Amino acid sequence: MVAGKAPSAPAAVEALGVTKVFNGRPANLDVYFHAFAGEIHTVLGENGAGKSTLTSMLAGVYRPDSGEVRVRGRKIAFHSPRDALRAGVGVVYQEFHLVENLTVLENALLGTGMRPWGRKRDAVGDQARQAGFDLPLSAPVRLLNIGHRQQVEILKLLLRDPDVLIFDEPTAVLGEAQVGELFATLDRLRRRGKAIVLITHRLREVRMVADRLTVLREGRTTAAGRRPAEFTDAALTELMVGPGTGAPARTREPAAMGEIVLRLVGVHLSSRSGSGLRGVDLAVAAGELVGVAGVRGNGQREIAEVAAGLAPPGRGRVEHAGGDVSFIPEDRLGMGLCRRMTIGQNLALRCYRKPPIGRPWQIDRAALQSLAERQIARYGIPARADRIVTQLSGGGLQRVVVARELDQRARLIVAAQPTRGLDIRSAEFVRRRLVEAAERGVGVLVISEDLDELMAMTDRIVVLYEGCVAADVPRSDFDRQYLGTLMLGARNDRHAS
Amino acid sequence: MRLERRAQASRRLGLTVPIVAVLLGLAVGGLVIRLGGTDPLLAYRTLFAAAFGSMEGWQATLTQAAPLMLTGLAVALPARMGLWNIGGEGQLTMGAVAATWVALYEPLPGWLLPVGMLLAAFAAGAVWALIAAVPRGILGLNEIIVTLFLNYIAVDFMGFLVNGPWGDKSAIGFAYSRAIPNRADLPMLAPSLSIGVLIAFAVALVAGWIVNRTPAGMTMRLVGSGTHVSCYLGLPIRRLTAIGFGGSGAIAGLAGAIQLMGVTQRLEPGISSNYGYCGILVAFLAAESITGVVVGAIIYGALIVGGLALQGAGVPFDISLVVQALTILFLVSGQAALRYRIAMGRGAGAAAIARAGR
Repeated sequence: MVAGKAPSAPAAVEALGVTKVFNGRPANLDVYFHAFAGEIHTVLGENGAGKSTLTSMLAGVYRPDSGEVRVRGRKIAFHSPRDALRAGVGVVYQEFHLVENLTVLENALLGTGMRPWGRKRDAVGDQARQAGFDLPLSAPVRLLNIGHRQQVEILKLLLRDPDVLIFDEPTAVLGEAQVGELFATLDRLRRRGKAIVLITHRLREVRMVADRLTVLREGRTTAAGRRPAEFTDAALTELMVGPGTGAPARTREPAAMGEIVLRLVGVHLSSRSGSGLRGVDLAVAAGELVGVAGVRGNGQREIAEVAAGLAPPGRGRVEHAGGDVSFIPEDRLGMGLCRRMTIGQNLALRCYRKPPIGRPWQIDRAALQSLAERQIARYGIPARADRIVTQLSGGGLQRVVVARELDQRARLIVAAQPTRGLDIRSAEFVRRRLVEAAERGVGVLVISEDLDELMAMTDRIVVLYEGCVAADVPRSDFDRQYLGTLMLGARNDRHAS
Repeated sequence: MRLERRAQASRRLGLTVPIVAVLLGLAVGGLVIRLGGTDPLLAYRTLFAAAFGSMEGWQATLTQAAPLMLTGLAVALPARMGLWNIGGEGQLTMGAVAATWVALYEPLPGWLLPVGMLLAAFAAGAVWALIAAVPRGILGLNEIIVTLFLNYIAVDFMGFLVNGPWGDKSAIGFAYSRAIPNRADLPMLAPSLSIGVLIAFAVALVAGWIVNRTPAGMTMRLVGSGTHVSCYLGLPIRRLTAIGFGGSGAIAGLAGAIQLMGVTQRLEPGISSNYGYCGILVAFLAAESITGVVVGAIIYGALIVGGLALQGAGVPFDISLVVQALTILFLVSGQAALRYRIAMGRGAGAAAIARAGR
């Protein structure tokens, strides 16, 4: 950050002791935050720490119950996001608000009242170039990948020339390479004197781009406007989750290999989006934890469904050692859970047809209840068994899925993006359960876009690139940069044989 | 003031909405009656007295309610699986045709005859529904269209039978079949009430048990909640669809037999009296709940009986239909109340967003 500037110039945007209470529960309690022009300021916190509440107040979605929001030193009462935008504060939300069938240009100008032709077209093009975006202006948005869609969102905002850009967990939806591109964009905007607020719960991103950081925990500020260099990762983690929890994922020793529990031989599978699979060979032994890395769209979704036995391969063979396969699907709410059922019923989805719960003419409700209570206690699911499952947050939902799948005692677990979007505690919890399963002798296949996660927990990482296995890297050769380049399609020279 | 989506509609609200819809239907219907020059209070008193005011009234109401209960179940059960059975009318008709065929051409000895007729109706209804389930399972054809068109085929097929091969030659000018033997009649509970209503109650009881208490009922709800979850769990969706459809058709077919053996004693064009279509409304009124179907069928039965009594008092029967239609309209509006609530001020709405996004 531009250190000398901070004390004299007023902050581009600041929150002074803001409090916001929902249903008697404070989401923000006396929170302080200020971001200056020309800096990237990260707001760190777990899910539920109050990050979104804070940004919503900065962006005019709602007003604080007490405390005040200031823009360039002046107290402001926003009545709507539009007011905030007029005052120069804009947000890039995690969910995109784009019209798929309109072009990039049309989307960018939507709501500005400007017409998408003539000089305006050039203006948009200029703006995009300045931001470093290489966007096809006349292509419909539905043809764009997720990284480019995000760029359209940013472009939309830039056309309204804000001083403050708030990014709400922008990396949650991106692959490894796209994160790099996004951060380059953030850097360019910083140089242009914008104040960038970056909401995240990933420490690595703080290290990569942040000038300063503010940490929230349970609605309170635990650090405000500090420099990242002041803290170790452990110290930051403690600020986020409180003392004594959230140790980083345990690294493990390679287990003694047992028999093969999953084998893919020359598997092909076509796909409507992404590359599909084009001749994948893969084996997972009992007790082995194998990771699948790759940029989104290179066959991860397909390999998960094939390995779990849900999708028959177009060509090739899939061999299972027998018995059930536990599958933690990527789409936990759409596929892994039944929205209309209670937590207890969802926990029983794999076993309600079998004794002791399922008897031919009746479901034993007492048995179901006791199973549910046991699992709720063991997996720390934060609600009662008779609640509808959708009342849980992301972390709670995933705990339900993991509880049910691991309880099957299958010999193979396939986990697709098992920690995506989870708070630190739940993510760590899920990883630990998977490691434990491998230690019990279960074969585990983890498909993840989080390379750090895979490097921390797996014995081996298989890199998928355009539907093929680009490399099969043993734990001894784990190296972030090396794996990263493999994911982008670099040739596997180091292991050429 | 703004609308918010509810996380979960309470049970009490689920009961309140249909009751309020019926009351509003009666109130606005009263205005229509008033326009027609009749005192609405008097009209409604006549209606309720006819339906519930005497033993005869109760018998008539329950006689109407029995087939409605069955056709209502025939819609509500597959609806739990996300399937729409609009074919109750045709399944009921084919049930009645099959039962008549047994009575006229396969005269089984003694008590086997009525039992055989019931079973034949059961099977015929199932087959008629499966004709729609198979193209859905294999080709993904819309079951609403197929079941709807099968109704016309069934009704015209019956028309052909009673006008032609099965027609009663002695009844000149009337199209109905020869009468079924007396020993095929259902036993009577009361002078004008057959045990058909008990059969309907029993079927509802069994259906309610299966749906709410058994693993099969849970499977039905899973299939109804979407193909992703069902595939994930490895449920045999096509087979379950066929079983659900076949079962519901069988129940509607049974309604045809009950009408034949308890009311008309012969196959005639009016045998279905729109029970198949009214069943859709009953299931809708019940919001797919089994108890709701039983209660809804009785309310509908009462409206039919009461409507006929009004006609005797000089008010057109159609008034009863107007009240029914109004009730449905209010119910549809009420569904919104189940899904949304009105919140005052902008804070509450923002709070909902915050709960979802935080």
